[in-house]
Amino acid sequence: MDFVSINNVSYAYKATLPVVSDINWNIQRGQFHSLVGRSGCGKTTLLKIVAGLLNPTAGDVFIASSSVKRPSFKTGFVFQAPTLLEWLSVLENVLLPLSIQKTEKILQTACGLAVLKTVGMKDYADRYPSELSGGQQSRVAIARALITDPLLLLMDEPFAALDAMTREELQIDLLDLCAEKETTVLFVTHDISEAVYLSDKVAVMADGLIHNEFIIDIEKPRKHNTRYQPKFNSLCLDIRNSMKTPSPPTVIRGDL
Amino acid sequence: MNIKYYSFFLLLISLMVWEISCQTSSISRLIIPAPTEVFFVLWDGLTTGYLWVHIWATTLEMVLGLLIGCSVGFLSGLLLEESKFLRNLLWPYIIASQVIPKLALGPIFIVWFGFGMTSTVIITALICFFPLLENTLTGTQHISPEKRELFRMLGATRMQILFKLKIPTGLPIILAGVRVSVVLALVGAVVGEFLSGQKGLGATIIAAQGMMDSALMFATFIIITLIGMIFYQITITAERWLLRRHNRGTYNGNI
Repeated sequence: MDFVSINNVSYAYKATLPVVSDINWNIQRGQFHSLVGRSGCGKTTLLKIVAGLLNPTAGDVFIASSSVKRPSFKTGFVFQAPTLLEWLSVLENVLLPLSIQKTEKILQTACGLAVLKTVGMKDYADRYPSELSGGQQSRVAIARALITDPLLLLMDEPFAALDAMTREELQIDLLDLCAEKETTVLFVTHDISEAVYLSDKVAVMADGLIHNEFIIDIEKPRKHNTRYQPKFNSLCLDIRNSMKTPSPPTVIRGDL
Repeated sequence: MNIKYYSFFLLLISLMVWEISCQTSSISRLIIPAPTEVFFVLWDGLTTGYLWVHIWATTLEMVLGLLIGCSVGFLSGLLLEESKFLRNLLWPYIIASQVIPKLALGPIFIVWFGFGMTSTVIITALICFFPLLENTLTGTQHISPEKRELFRMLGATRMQILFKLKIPTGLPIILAGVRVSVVLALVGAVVGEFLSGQKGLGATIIAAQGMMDSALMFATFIIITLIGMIFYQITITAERWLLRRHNRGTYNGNI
């Protein structure tokens, strides 16, 4: 049984062409999937539908066999911008989901510090967001999404605004975290190499449709030099080529 | 030298020029009194206690008007922010109530509430109401869609969104409204007293006018200015304290 299943999902804003049409996609538990595509191809809309922030005009999304109608506490969402509340300290930002759920205060602080430690930000607990670099802010945003122990993590280009080096560090740490907690992830990006590096499977979207899917069978754990393997590069090239000319849906295995 | 000292010297020089002009020219002291004369009247008023009654009355009216006007303005701002229906329904009336000069309403307030403090407090409160309403509404509406989505994602209730997101986000703009209201409150209290006051600095000015006592009028101006500056400074200090978290984090290079 798939952990996440997206069945015939379509979405259209009023009186316009559908932004997302007839999407079918399944994610097994603990897998890391990415959606890549140009800006405006509908990938963020699809992610928001899975999050329950948007209701599809047709079709259904199931997470752990239950239909998604509204946002759930068990789904973490990381936005494109870190979206931290600037008047709260790092720790308070991370604890925001718990304070909204009214978890007991003492438990909260311990959880907050533990999750900050996992993203390497424990020493910054008392700082304020504007005192942090972009990469550090992203780490805090990830910590905030992880504090509820989500079964599913949805990420909308979370590293898009970061420099290449910081982005690589965060990617490595994200993979380690997800492997450790066996978190299922759906990750939206327009960066092909990021998608290949992180994912078990990549979906290429264009004009609201999934045109191609690629299984990334590069061994794990992936490290820095994974990016320089011939297989990595050939997969990136395949994906890039598939984005140039949309073709009918096909499955291409990474070792072809 | 610090610019503040220059600022102080400028005051001294202006006072000296004013004093010398009064002493040497033939302008009547009924029209422009010399600074020394104003100072003596001021000193006399303060030491005999004559002015303190009026200072207290004006300050009380100002503070009461400010508190009532700001609280009602803030709460109405929140209410209108939360309810689009009410906003659309009431907005034309709110605008209408604000474009009418509040002092024009003074005479009817005197008919309703009599001469004295109540009428002045109501005029002051009405003047302070709008900046708070407007700024609360503006401040709480300017929230990024992503932050709204974050709170939806976390399953926050409407009250949690209001108290944990909207009010903190709008706080700098709301407090700017308070600052404007503080200045307007003093104007409201003094001018309200012109119309309805038996006590207060506004009433003192009108009484001094009746006696052609320009020196007393100038002495009252000085006191009003000082009250205004003190309250403004208190507001700035309170604002800094309330926004201490918002203002944290100028990049200090240690990261």
